[in-house]
Amino acid sequence: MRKYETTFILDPSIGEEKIESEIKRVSDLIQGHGAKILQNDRWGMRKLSYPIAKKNQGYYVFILFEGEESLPKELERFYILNESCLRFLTVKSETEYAPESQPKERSTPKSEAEDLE
Amino acid sequence: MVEELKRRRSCRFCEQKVKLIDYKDERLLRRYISDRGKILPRRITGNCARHQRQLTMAIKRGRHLALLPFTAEVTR
Repeated sequence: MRKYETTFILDPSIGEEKIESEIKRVSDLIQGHGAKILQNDRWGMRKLSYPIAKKNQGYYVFILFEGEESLPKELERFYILNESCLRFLTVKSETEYAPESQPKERSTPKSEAEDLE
Repeated sequence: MVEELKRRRSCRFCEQKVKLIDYKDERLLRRYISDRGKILPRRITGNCARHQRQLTMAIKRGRHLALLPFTAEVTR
C-alpha cells in the first residue's frame, strides 16, 4: 500500500449530473480495489491554460488515496477509456498532507509571493 | 518580475526550507515561467540544483494538467 494522488479533468459539456456520476465512478473504482480515499477535492470549473479537445474549460477533481501498486494502472486504463475525461495525472504522493489540510494550500508563505509581483 | 529575480543569488526554496515543490501550486509556479511560458533558467532564478529540478518537474506536471501554458497564448 502506498499513497497516490490523482487529478483528472472532466469535459464540462456533459452536464452536471454526468459529472457527478463520473466522479462517483472513479471513487467507486478506487474503493472497489480496497483502497482508502484520504482526501477528495473538487477544484471545480477552471479555465484551461490551452484548449484540450477544443474545450476551454474543464472540471477538475483531485483525489488522494492509499492503495495497492496495481491500482494506478487500473485507474489510468479507466481514464483512457472514458471519453469525458480530458486529462489525468496520477503520481506517487510525497507531500505530507495534514489530516485537515486545505485543498489549495500554498507551499510558500503568501507575503513572499506578493513581494515579487 | 524577471528583473526582480535576477538580483537574487540564493535559492528561495532553500531559504524557506521547502521540501517538495507542488505541481498544484499554480501561483508559485507561474513566477518561474517566462511570459512565453518557458521555464526560467537557474542563472535567473538563482535556485539550487535540487530545487530547480523539482521545479522543472512540477512545472511539467502543471502543464500536463493545463494549469500552466506550454507556450504563450496564440491570438487568432
